[in-house]
Amino acid sequence: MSKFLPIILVAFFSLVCLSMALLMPWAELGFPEPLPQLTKLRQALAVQLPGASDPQVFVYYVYSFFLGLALLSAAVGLWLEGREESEEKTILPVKK
Amino acid sequence: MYTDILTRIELKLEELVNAVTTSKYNPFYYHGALPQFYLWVLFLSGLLLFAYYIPVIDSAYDSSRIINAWTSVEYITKTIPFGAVIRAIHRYAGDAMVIAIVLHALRVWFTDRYRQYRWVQWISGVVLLVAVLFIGQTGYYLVWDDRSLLLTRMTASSFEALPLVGQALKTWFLNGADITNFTMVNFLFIHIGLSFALLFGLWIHYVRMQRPVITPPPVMNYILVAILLFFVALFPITSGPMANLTQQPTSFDVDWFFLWPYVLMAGMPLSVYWLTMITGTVFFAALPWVFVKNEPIETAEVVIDKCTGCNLCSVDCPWAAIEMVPAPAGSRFKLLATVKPYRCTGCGVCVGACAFDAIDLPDLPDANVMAQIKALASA
Repeated sequence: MSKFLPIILVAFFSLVCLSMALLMPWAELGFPEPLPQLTKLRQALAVQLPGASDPQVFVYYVYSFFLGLALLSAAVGLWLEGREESEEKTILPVKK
Repeated sequence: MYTDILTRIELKLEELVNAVTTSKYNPFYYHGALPQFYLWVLFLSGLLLFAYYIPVIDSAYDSSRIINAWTSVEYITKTIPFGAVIRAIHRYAGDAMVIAIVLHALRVWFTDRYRQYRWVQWISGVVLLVAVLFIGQTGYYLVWDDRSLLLTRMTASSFEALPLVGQALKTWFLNGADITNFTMVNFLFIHIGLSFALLFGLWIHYVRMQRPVITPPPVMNYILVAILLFFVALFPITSGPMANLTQQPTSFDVDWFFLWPYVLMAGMPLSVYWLTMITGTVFFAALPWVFVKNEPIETAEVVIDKCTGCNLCSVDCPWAAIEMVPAPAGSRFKLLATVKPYRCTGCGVCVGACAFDAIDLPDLPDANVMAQIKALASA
């Protein structure tokens, strides 16, 4: 299990990054609501993020919020993927 | 000495961060690159803002259709797509840059890397910090709201209070006797011109370093931008009411990263303010000579009989402290390594680079170091 854990984590963060990347154009298009889950998400964002009083600008703040999440998840995924080879290993010379 | 304690604390912190991030992504190892990265963000976001900014102060009482600095900033914020985001990125990148510079200076201080040969980096760094703070303050003038007007008047008064040069400095600052459109143009010129002058200052800051690290890895760049974007979404930037030259604002919201001098200015006589600011700046600039270590740095020494002139130590030296000179007459080799003691910091990289045991630190000979490593490895 521990051998597959890094792969699972990288896959998870890749999915998060992709999801955030898909939510970015959703925000920019003015929050269309083809799914009920998206309606709930829009309502939650309007409560949590302070810029909702100006709907024209609010879409851009939400866009930047999702972009930040996408970048963060991409960074974590890349960091996990390269973690093993970036760890410093001590190699002791063997006397021949 | 207290610097040894600070160095130990610093290294312990780095060790703890290494356990989480590994050394490849430890932000402590990119402490100089972080402010540099934010500078590029500021240049890019500033360019986009500059495209729509109008540096005039004509007020509502002069015309019915108002086009001035304040309305152009409102236009950027409320009408231009992503204008509000770019404006907030510009503001928060400035704050983040100040934090990164201060942390960078603290690390350099705690790890004792500002002495001897490195005084040029230290002094240029202090000058750069003062320039960055002034550039940030001019950014607040450019919005031309109530706060901008109050800050402009406070700055003009503080300049005027200086002996001899005060009146000339005030006239230069306002670009005339009073606040006019020429004043706003001057602020824009200072804000942009001084920002580009930073690049020249950074060249001086880097020129004595062998291999300066000025770019964080991509993973770190993503995180730095993500942090900015979270602040943009959670704390939107808005302007105060448009500045009115017929009124005198008396208070403003303080951005502690750039506007702390105004808090000092408001709380003490201007003569005391200038004395505090000038002596504080001179003290920090003179730090390499204020706290001098009693024990001298042990510089590396070349063992002339063993040196083959292979050049490895000279190439590897981070401080350009090893020069290859023609070998003495009678030598089998063409070149000989010589150490410039003023540049040497006793780091030992040359000892590791040499394949012929031809260079050593006097109080840390190879045999002792190998014995310690073997003892640790077998423990």
